Amino acid sequence: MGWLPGSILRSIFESGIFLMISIGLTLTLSVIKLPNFAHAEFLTIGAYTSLVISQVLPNNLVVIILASFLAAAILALAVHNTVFKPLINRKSSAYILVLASFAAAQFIRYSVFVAGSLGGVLSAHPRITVTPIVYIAGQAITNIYLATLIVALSSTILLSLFFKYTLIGKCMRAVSSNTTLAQLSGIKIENIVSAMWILAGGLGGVGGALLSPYVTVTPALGFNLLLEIFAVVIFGGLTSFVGTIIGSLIMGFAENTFMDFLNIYFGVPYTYTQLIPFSLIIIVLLVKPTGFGVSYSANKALRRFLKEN
Amino acid sequence: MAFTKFAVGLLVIGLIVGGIAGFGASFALQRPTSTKATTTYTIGVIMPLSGTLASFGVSFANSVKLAVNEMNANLSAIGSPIRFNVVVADDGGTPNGALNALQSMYQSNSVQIVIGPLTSAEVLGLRDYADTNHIVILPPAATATSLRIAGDYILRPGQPGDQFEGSALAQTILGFGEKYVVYIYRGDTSEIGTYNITSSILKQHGVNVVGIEYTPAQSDYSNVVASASSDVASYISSGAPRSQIAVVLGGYGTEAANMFTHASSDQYLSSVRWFGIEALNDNSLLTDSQVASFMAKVNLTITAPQTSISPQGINFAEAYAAAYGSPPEPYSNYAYDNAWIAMLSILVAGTDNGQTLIKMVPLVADHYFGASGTGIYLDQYGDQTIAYYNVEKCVQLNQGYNFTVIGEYNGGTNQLTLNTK
Amino acid sequence: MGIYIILTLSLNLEYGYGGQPNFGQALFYGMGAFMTAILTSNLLFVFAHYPSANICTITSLVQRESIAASNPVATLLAWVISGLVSVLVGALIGFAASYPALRVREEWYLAMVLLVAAQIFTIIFSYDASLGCGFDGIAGISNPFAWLTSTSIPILNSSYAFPSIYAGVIALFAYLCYTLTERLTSSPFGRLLKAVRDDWLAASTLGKNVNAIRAQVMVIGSAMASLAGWLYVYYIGVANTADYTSSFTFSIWVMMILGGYANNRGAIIGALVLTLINELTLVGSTLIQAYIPGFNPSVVNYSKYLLESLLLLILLIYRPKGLLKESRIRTPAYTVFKDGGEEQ
Repeated sequence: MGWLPGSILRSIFESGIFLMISIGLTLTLSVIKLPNFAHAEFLTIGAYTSLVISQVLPNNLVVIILASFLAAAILALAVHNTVFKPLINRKSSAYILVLASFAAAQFIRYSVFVAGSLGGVLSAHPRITVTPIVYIAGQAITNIYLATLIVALSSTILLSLFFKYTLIGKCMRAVSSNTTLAQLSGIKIENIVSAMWILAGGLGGVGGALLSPYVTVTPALGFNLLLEIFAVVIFGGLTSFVGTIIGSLIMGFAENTFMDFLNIYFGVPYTYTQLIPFSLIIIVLLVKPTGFGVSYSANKALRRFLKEN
Repeated sequence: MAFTKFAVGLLVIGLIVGGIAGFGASFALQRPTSTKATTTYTIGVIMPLSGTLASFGVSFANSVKLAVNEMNANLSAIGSPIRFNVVVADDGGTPNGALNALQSMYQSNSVQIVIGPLTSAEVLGLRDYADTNHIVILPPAATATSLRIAGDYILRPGQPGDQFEGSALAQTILGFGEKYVVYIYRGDTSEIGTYNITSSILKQHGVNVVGIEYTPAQSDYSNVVASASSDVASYISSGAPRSQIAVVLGGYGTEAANMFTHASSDQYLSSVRWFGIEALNDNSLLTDSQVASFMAKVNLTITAPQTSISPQGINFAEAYAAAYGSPPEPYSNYAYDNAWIAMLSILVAGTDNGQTLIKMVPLVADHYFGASGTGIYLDQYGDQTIAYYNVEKCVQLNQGYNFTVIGEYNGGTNQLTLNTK
Repeated sequence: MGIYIILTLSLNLEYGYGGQPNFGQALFYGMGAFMTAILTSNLLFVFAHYPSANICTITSLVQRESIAASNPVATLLAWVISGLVSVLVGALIGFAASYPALRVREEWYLAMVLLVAAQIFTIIFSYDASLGCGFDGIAGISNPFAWLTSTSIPILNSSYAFPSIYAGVIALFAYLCYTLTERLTSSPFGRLLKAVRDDWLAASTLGKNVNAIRAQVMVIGSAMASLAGWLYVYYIGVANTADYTSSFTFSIWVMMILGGYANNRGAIIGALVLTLINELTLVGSTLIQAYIPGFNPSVVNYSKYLLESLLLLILLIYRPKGLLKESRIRTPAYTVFKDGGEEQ
């Protein structure tokens, strides 16, 4: 059982990464109910921003994170304005939106391919050094792991607080639970949705930037993670921040501790790692589509508020 | 009414098609004026320019272009009326893409000889079409034993097959006296093949081998590295001396970079010697200080077909860097050599007819020595049979990191000579 | 080409008429392909009285090809049987897939479930070498008419004849599928489908069994996709998971949306246009390289994907119904009365 403590630690850190890359999608789903398959491309953009910035300012994590937030947020706004806004205004069906997000994703991905091919960076590694800070049970705790965990947790908590206490956050909740009513009560839907896209895209970008020191940056970086991002969100019940934390923990443990367990005791090769979350997606969608999280709907909050008072 | 809509639809399609055709035609009209006497032969290149292996595909295609440019410059200098031309097509790394690419090349440019594709899966996709239409296929790096088929239109004068790489690697590991081996390998035909050959030789010599296969093109491999680490740890705890424990990496590129990064912060993995395959001699790994310092720390030792002794190989690497601004990816020299073999065969035969070339290419290849640094001899399956390997170790030099030769392996005699450890 | 038409028609039936978003088209297509490859490899040995062998080895591959080149009876039998079985298997998987289709709550869950199922299929068949020979796939499935070259019939024994014959066979199947879907969608069943698609609640209050109808659509659609997989394997000669990915499914969706949803002729036009674009970007890139030396071919090659996604986006935004509008049912009820109750 010597493998267990290290494996659990690794699961927790991997969960931090999963949380970071999928929290933006939770936001999109909860406010405008859009399963955005282009979310993964925000990661790619974030990772490429980190690549570019780290050439000028190596190892400067703060600047890199801010820059990739900005770059991905701008992209998200652009995608929203050119693709999703006209479609949502026309009340297109969910499939059309899914398809449009697929198309947008492919367009962004291959634009990056063209740019990468012209710039000679189809695969590159940013100049950010991974250093172990301390060893616990044989598992190294690196600076990147710690940074990811801190950024992921703090941004999730800030996001929940933002939803609960700030005006824009409350407006977002209002839009999320009933768009027409929100509009009636004088909320400028357009601004709220734009703010949502900035946050969702930006957080995705930061996820990509935090991923970049470990993985090599390629135009397909985000796309390879697409289904895993969706797995996290689905486990978390799609719209809940707490749920997303739980979802990313499930993912982290499924792909590490559980996989290690299967490998050690049943000899299942690591090539089947992805099968665990994928089969879980199907089971969850069929059996318990609400996921494992608590959905943060305004109605429920209101009911709870009334009950308590 | 319905008919008008149908007509409108057709019109729209017509406009799209016309637009694209016009786009092509506008380029066609800009054809540089050439003298009538010039004969131009076309060499096709089919490579994955998109997808996970894009960086290899691009480098291979560039190498072929480099060879063709050099040939054309020489032909023009001696006043020859013959010129060569390259067309490159993307196959996206799939068998279907490879077949489509070959079809469109054959139909539009009547290409008779093709350098590519990259992997054996892609080669199998276009094999039937190539055989039927007599198109000679020269894959530079598809080394899988699954392509050892006699009498087809696939010739492999490039990289020696997996059976040679596997025994070179196994003999090297044995030469260092390792008794406990953890072998991480990429889940693709070629690396699985190399693993099977290496591990069976090692096991024959009483070495313990644990194999860990990993999925290509994932973003993160922390669990694979952790598994290797726990295997090493259990060897250590069972009393094996660290000098007899080795880790072998049968992977490359972005995936290897990720694993080295994880392993560099692991106490067990950084305390034993590492071995690897040729593709780890990769510039993007060596210029990444984090990865490269780990590679030097664990004395990463690889077996690579002898290239450094060939002046052609050095010239190729320099010319490539001068033309494209970065050094070539591993195995690109084979693409470059295949292009030369193809062009020389066409010159000797005086035609680019595939049925003639299939007989001519082995003849030329058997008498060719190029950037790959070894002679070539093709067997009945059309595969390279001469294999000399260097044993190379990663070391830190004044500026940066590189591999130095510490021994050699002869594939013909199965003999390993180590100058130093 | 014909294969794309079949796939687009099947997706059109499922989504355009039946309202089932099948994002796992590659799963049914790939299943058909692998079923065919596995069956053919084993059946050829049985019919030609060879001892059974591991289908992944080179020896067996060479043997398969020599049987296909010399033994017409065994080859054609294996071809037909593998076709029938893979269509049957496709129908079964389609039926299995309709189970989640009826259970999931949100609209796009089904899309997600099928997308993930397709991914699982790819992973299992790539890594489990005992199922589909791993990464190289099952190779050596020759054209079912390759034996013509060993006959002494003039013209037919040339190396150009058998690919053309097989192309004709594919075209014939494409035509059959078109007729089938056209018949289906013009029949009362087609009207029922549209009713269920547009308002399943209303349809069920009228006493229609919505679930059964949805299941039937999935069964027919996926059987067609498997049929395409069967035809395709014999065309390319290898069943390899790299050909059955989600990007492939996406291309089929583009074809369907391009041509016009719930319109069978539109589906054909969509398939034609997209294949043409692929072909033209390939040919265009080779032409450009021929006349402009030093041109970076990657950029043109990527433009195929850019064009594909751009086309889809433009269509979705400006012409969501595709090039051709949803076709009207060609057997509207009033004609029955107009022609004095003529029997159909």
